Amino acid sequence: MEGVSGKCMIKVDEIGYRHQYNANSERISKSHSQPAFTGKPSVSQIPSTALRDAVEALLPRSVRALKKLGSHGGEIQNIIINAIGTGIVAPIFIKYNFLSDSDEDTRTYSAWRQPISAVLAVATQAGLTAPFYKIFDSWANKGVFGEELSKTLFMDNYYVEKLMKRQYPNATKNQIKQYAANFKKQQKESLIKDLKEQSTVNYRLADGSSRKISGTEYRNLLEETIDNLAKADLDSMKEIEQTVKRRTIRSQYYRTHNQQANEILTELRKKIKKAGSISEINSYISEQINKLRKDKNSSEMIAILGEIQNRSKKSNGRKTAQTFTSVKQALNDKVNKMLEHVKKYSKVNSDAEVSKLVAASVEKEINALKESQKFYETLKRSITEQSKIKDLQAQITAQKNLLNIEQSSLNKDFAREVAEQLISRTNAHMKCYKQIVGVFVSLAILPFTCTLLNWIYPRFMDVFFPNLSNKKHQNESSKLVAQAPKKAEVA
Amino acid sequence: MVSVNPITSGISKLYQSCFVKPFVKLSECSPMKAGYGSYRLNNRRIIDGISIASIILKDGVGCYMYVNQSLNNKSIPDDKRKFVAALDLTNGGLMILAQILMHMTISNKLIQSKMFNRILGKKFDRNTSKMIYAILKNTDKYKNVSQRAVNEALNKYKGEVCDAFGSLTSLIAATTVGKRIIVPFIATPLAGIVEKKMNKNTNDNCVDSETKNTYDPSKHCNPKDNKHKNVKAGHSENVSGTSSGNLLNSFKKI
Repeated sequence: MEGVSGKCMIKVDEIGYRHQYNANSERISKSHSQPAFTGKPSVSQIPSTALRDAVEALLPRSVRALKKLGSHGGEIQNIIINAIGTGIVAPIFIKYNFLSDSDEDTRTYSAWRQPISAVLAVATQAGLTAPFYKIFDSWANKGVFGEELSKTLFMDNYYVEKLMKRQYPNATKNQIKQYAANFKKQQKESLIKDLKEQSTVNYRLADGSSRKISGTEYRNLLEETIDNLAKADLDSMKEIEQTVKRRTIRSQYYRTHNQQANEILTELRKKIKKAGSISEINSYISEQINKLRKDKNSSEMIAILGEIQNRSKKSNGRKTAQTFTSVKQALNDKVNKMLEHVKKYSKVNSDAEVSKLVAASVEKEINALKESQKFYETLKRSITEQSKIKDLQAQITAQKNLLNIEQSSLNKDFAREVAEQLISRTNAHMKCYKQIVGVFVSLAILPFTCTLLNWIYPRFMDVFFPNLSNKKHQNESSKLVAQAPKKAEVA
Repeated sequence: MVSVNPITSGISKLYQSCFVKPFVKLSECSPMKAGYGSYRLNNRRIIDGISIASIILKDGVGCYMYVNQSLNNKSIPDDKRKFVAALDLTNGGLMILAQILMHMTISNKLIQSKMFNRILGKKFDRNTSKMIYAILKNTDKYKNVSQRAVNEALNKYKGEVCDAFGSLTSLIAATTVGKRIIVPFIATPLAGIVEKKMNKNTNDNCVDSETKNTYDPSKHCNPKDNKHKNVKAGHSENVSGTSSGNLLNSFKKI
């Protein structure tokens, strides 16, 4: 049955694929539900993940290793690690358990049940449970599921790579990755275009037809996107409020210890300009911090220097000339900005005035963010099933021009945000579906695993540990029979 | 014109109606849709409830089946069968408790993110973002990149590392240490206690209904008569099988 269903799956897959990329390409390009993928990426097209990869490369090795270790394993790795725990660790804690007063033979006999159960768990989970999840993912990518779980417009990476491998059988692994990234980018742009122009989502179904998103789902999608934008602005507002507290303390220090701050920072700027390496800057800063430790009133200056040093350490030991120039430039900019503040607050007479100035510097931004919250509320109330994304974008742009703030979600492309929300909500739906269906799948498999374990376990023990199992008694009986005097001897 | 194999088409139809359709229908039913809403809006109360209910259901049914099958498995030696079943029972029960406990603590998303921020939060702070921006804008490819774009990319990557951290801590702390060290460590001595209880219950009930003594001496003689009392005691001792003596010996003692 497994083999038959597997073959059917491949067949359906092939039909879907042929339909999508060859036979009906005209329909696809007309509906814009799939990008017209031309194959090899052009030079100007940078995959959307490029910046993320560039950021990743600049992070510490430990972080990258953790990411690799935690995300590369997948389900099968988890099953295997779980089985190692069950098969090797658990038996030790059963057999050598000093708290238990049960007979050691009995404990050993029971402990051996664990490795056998672990092997069976790997076999059934990897062979039956995990493939179920793969089938669900595959259905979501093909359009077998309805709109809640459909990923036809933003296919999973593994699925796109599979398709690319089929389309370019001679391509190298890296080329396939590149084509897949490019395809995904085009697919997303196509989805955004559909949202902007048609204010809808055209899901592709497994039979080749397409279906528009339902009115309720569309409305929910827009409302959730607006909620996300409002939340992002609220977070920015909270961050600014926290910055105000920090900035006030620092600005008061600049006023009260103006000369000290000016001297130390000017000297530091000179050192940064002359420095030949990052470590030279770091050791100079450490030296200065050690000197300042003797003075109780210099805690804020120590914090300032520590902050600069911390920033220089973030280059993560990269010793390339380009990195060094960038770090040097960044540190120089930071110190210059600090010196500007030192100059600004040297003219201020009281701490109260400093607080006023700091509050005034963020007042405009905070007020604008507060206004944006009110705007999002009004916008959300106006959403209907017929709302056009173009109109909503126009309202957002008008509000952005009115408030004129840099750090706000109002600057974001609304259609892109809607697309992001659509992807995120579909992933959440899939997680829910897998969790609930997973219970039923596990329950369905349970009698099979249970019966198999109860059949294998005593037989395994009979073969490999006859002294612990029923065989012991049989052996002992045969020994006694052999030792017993024969009839002739008795006579 | 492509000819369609009737067997293949029959199998395909069967596959569609018996396998695909039920799962698709399930994905569209209203309780599932309610679940989608909770997951989408990250309603922790409902998500945690579903997770805990699934743990109890899966492990509870599993525990029941394992215990039942072990008790009735004649291939396991008589002297060890009850201990094996008792270990299945205590292991199963503790496993449910351990998983619920871990779901609420170390495997909980909120707690994991707090742990992550405490251990690795500094690797993703404002200084890191500023420095990455400074390094990137000095390169040809990213000379036009904005600080906000770098912040967003860094946050996205932070989310991925946080997920990886969560799955690793769950795997090591919950799955290996909790489920495979602590649970068997406690379950083994508990299994001994459960086994003794099982034996006691079995001994109390080992009298077959057909051979059960239905004679009630209190109805036929004086309850203060010690002779009758002793006869009754001797008889029940013999039936239960715990005494090595026979009926004649009991009567001789009287």
